[in-house]
This record gives sequence, structure tokens and C-alpha cells, in this order.
Amino acid sequence: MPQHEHHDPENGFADELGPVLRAAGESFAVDGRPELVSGGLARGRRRLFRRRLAVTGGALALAAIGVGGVYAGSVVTPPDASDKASAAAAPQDGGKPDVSRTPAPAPTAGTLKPGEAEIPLSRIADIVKANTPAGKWSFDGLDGTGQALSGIYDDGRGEAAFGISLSRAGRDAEAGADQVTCPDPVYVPHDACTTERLSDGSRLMVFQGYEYPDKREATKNWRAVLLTQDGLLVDASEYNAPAEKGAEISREDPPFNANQLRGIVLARAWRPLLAQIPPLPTAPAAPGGPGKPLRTPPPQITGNGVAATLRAVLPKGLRVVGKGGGGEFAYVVVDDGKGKSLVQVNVQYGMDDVADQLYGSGDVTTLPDGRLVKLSRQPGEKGGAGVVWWSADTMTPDGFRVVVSAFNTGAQQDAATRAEPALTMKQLKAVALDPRWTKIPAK
Amino acid sequence: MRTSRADEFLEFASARTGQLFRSACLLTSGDVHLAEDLTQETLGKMYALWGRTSRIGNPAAYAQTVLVRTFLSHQRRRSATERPLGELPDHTPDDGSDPLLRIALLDALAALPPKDRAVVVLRYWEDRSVEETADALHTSSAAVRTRTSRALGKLRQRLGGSVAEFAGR
Repeated sequence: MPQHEHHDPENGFADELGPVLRAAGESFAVDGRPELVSGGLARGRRRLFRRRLAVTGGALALAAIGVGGVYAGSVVTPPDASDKASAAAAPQDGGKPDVSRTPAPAPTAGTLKPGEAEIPLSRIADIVKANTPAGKWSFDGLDGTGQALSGIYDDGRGEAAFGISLSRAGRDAEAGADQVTCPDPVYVPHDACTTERLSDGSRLMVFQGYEYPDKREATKNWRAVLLTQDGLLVDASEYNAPAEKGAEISREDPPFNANQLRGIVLARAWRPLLAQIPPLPTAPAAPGGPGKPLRTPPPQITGNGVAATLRAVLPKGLRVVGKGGGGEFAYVVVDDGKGKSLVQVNVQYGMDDVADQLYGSGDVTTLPDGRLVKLSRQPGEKGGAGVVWWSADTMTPDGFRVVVSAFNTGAQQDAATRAEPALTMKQLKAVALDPRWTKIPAK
Repeated sequence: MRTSRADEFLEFASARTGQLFRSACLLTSGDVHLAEDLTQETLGKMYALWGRTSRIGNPAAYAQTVLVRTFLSHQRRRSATERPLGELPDHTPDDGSDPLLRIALLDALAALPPKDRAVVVLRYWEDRSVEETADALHTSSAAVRTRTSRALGKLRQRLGGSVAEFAGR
């Protein structure tokens, strides 16, 4: 607690350090660095694009980001968030008061967002303890409230990070469906993943994989996610390391096996806590609210139309040895006899607002009908040795985008299996411009 | 009239980039090239989250958290070798601050382990509480206190009197 630091012998120095640190920080000027914003935007575009490409594998990653946001303070309320150490006054931008950089205020009943609740974290901890084998626990922020709790568990065989969150996936269970769907092993390799539907309509996924899908670190992430019929999620995660992201592994496997993890999220004791999470408002916020013009959502493609069309428009002579996807995304793994090649497609509406970022550079041509076509050859980005990524990215003037990519491997994180993808650049372009993409139902 | 995702994001980025970049410069103890890279990466991550930011209570504070995590993950990917002190600020403000002390501070920050440096930046530049710092770093409050105490001890050893002199004037 900050108040304890009044007894800290370093405190006097800390008071003096603030102004020096601020003076040093303020000496770095951003004038003449416009590329910071433009470069950030470009990276964001690529990141979003990759996420959309990997949508089948993305469910887990997206969920993890959501939990990250929770841990970052939107839902967890430290007991003394407002009672902050005041050793350093807030630095200001250009002398103007900069309220936006003040750390998040503690949510109170008045500032909680729809779908959020203030659950005493000690209650969450008690339920975790009651549903796990005896061991030594240390939880973070036990005297606070919120919907997510993290801690470290040690059964004597090595400390392991553990996290649990209670949240609302959306207005109904369908909103959380991708959180209880096993990721496609082509995109998120894992050792085991099972799903089941319970008698009360709840759905459950137990996942045993890795913190990083490319296994660049040996940290395992085992996880159980329960989705109730009301769209509420109980999400338990454990690691074989005392912290996420980069801590050395402390043990061979996370401490709780699949069945124990399943038992944690299925505990009846969660039900009263879940009941405290309020529903979301049934109607979206009023259009044109203060300073936030309403953005009309573009049509979304659901179902298997993209997958079916991809198989229909592929050049003849390619044997399909794997397939997957859903919604706006689909992939096939083809083999022309010379090795596996992953071919994936995204079909998206309403992308015209980012046309400049997508087609502002590189080998871009404009067809007579106004369609933009960008062809690119680049190295793979998911760690497979020698992987090349060819793509034909097309967009109509009204923002209908079809991007087809092909790789010289069956999975991006695996090493190249051939020199080039199974489709030529010319074939990729023809596939992307095929009129059949526009016939896929969207709503 | 629809506002594009890019427009909304640009508004946020324009307002926040200065502070992110300056934080990054302190985290990298003056390596402005790495700081630029970290700032862009952070903005990129924020862009990808954009639209889901209603789930993030305070995007500005969250961006700073993302920056620190991005920095630490970058440090872990590097070899454990000592990072050379990067270039010094190419802009000397006429604000009466002491350029030698600034250099000494960046030097002293560079000598701290990255996670200790992150704790110092979050607590004394970002003005976060122990608990908020612990949240941002996915660690315990106790660990933050330990790191804070250790880092302040080292900084005081290196900077000592000159800091008091600066603060006192």
C-alpha cells in the first residue's frame, strides 16, 4: 500500500527523482516524428489483417486480450486506486492539463460499464481454493473487487500462474461461442482440446496448448472455459511458469489436469457470482451520442459460403488435403504432388476506410472498373523456416475486399515444404477477382 | 456520416503519441530508435484493439501499459548482453534543466534491469500506484515494492546529491 511507504527510507529520494525523471522525459521531442503515428497506424492495419486472416485460430488470442484488458484495470478495482503515491506530479503535454493520462479511476457503482460487476476478489479466491487440491496460493489484490483474479499456486512441485475471470460474452450465448470452440490446429497447435455441451445448455472447452502458438517458449497454457446459456463466461487459465509472458518454466506441466480444470469452472459456487453480472442493454447506445458519431456496421459474412466458394474457384489439379474457416475467412491446404501449400482467403465488406493503408504502397494497379489490386510477396510471419507468403489483395471502390494468400507450407508456423506456393501469382489474382465472391450471402 | 475507425484512432494517437514516445525513451534509457519502434508497435496494438476499447476503461492508460509490456517482451527476446547506451536526446530544451544530470539519469536507468526500469518509469513518471504497477507488469505488489526499493537504491547510489540539488532549486 502506498501509505506504508512513508516509512520507506527511499521515500525522500523518490520525491526528488520525480522532477529529474520528468525533465529527462520531456527532453525527448516528438516534433518532426510524424512517422510515429503513421507507422503505428500501418502496423495496426497489418496486425488487424493478420488477426482476421487467422480468425479460426484467433478466438483464443482474442479472449486473452480481453482478459488482459480486464487485468489492466477496467474491471479490477484496487482497494486504494485513488490513494496513489504522490511522489511525482503528473507530467503535462505542452503545459496543458492532460487529464487523459491520469491512470484509470476506480470504477464505482456509478461508473461501471454495462455488463460489469464488483465482486469481492476474496470470494473468487475462496471458490478457487475450494475447488482445487491443497497447495499454497498467493493471490493479487485480494482486498479489491472485480471480475478477474490472478495468483500463483504451488503444490510443492513448482509455482504456477493461475488466472480466472467471470465475464459477459455478449447479449447471448452465441456471442461467446468462439471462446468455447477449439482452435484449428493449423493456426494454434495444441496437445489436446475437447468441447462438450452440458445438460443445462452450457458449453465447455478444455484446451491444452501453449502460451505462444509457435511454441517459441516452452510455456504451456491450459485452459477451461465455460459458456452458460445466458452468455456468461467462466475462464480459468494456468501455466507451468510463475508468470505469463516470458517467465522461466517452473515445472513440466501446469498443476491442474484437464479434469481438475473442468471442475474449477463447473463449480456451482460461481452461479451466484455470475448472477451479479448485469445484462447488457438490449438496444445499442443512442446514435450520435456525445462526440461519437455512429458507425454503421458493414455487412458480415456468416456461415460456410467463403469456404465453399474457395473450393469452387481454386484452379483444377489441386488436391485439397485440409480445410477450415468460417464466416469471412476460409482456408484449404492443397497438394499438387509437390508438397503442401496453405491457401487462405478473407472476404470483407466495408473496408474502404482503410484503403489508403492497404493499397497506399507496393505493387498496386487499378482495374478499369475501379478495383484496386495489390500483389505482394513477403516472408512468412509465424516462424516457419523459409516460408514465403504470396497474396493478391483486391478491393472494389465501395470497400468490398477479397484477399487471397498462399504459402509454401501447409501451416505458417511449419518450415517450408516447397520452393513456392502451389498457386502462381497470376492464379492468386484470378481467384481473388472471381465474381463468385460477391454472391456469398451476407447480413 | 460515418467516422472511420482510422479517423477515431488517429485522434487518439495524435493526442497520446508524445507521451508514449517520451515514456519509451525513458524505458530504453535514451535509445530513441528503439523508442520509436516501441511507440509504433504500441499504437499498432491499440489500433487492432480499437472498437473493443469500450472494454478498456482508460485507453490512454492502457496504451502506456501496452508500451511497458511491449518493451519487456522486446527485452526478453534480446540476448542478455548489456545494451549500449543509445543516442542522447537531439533536442535540448531551454527549461533550465541540467543536461549533465539528464545524461547521468539515463545512464543510471540503463544500468537497471529492464523490469526494474519499467517499475521506476511506471511509478515515478507515470505516477502509478504499486497495485497499478503490479497489474501492468503481471506481477505481485510485493514484487513491485522490492523492485522499487532496489532500483531507487541503485539510482541514489549513482545520482545521489545531484538529484537533491536539482529538486531543491
